[in-house]
Amino acid sequence: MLAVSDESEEKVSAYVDEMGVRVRCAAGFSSGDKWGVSGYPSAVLINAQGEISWTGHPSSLSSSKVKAALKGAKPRKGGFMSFRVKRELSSKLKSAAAAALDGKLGKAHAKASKIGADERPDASEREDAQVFAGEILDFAKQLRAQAESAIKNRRMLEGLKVLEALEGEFKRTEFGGELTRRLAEIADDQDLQNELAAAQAWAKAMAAVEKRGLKKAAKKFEGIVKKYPGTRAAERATLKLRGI
Amino acid sequence: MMKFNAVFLAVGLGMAFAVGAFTCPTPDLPGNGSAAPEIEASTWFNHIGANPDLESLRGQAILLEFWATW
Repeated sequence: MLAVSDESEEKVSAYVDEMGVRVRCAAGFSSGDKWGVSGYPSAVLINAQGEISWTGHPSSLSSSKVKAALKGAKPRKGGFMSFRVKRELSSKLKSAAAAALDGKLGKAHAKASKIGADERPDASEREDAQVFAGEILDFAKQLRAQAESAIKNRRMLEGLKVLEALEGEFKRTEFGGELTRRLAEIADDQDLQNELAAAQAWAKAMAAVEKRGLKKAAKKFEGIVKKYPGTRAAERATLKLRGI
Repeated sequence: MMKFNAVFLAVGLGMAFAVGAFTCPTPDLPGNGSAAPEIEASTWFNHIGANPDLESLRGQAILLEFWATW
């Protein structure tokens, strides 16, 4: 689900922070006119084949429509680490580009760097490879920044998953070293470790909701509030319990 | 007041699409079955990965919700 607004970054950022919004949202959405948006809130459902299958008020969307839209859906190739450049790359970079698309950023970076340092390709191919290697590393750094933002907002599991995945991809590189040091720092941070334990307990509680329903899982949420006061998970658990 | 108008307009649009593109007074708006237009935004929040666009989301179902902070 993507919640898009055409408003400025500052406005949306302030709103997200203040209201504790956790869904994926965007500021500066520029294609509103192409979608025929004429009031808020409104929603469009796009099926797995890329066609519009429903439009209307978000509250009137039925689960049967969602089920139909999900028919034939495939998971994203390469996951969150998938990186695609929109320009033509020299043929020598085909393998590196495929690795990047597949989310194998460390492999892609190593391949592109090697071509960039090799004497055999001509100057323009070497330069193209060096630029591509730089772009891959920049993207990896962008992912790191997103992970840090997640940690700052106490989305611990998500943030750590990204940092650990990046560390794994960039083993034995300078960037990988930075990530290892950062992860060690996080492991030593009592506050963050407490948030992490609370987040893990939250995940367990949500799994219990799936299995046994909200009423039966209530004890787990009460446990979070008691054991991890002041954490983001405790805040959410309190709200969850109010809904019972 | 604004919210009521927005709901009314959104529902009205939905009904227009349901009736069919032929009777829709503004035939250039995308209706059911047509290909989704592009998704372009300047900044994404609570998101990990490259900026979402139709290419990167290919093969997935998307619920695009249009909202404002007011």
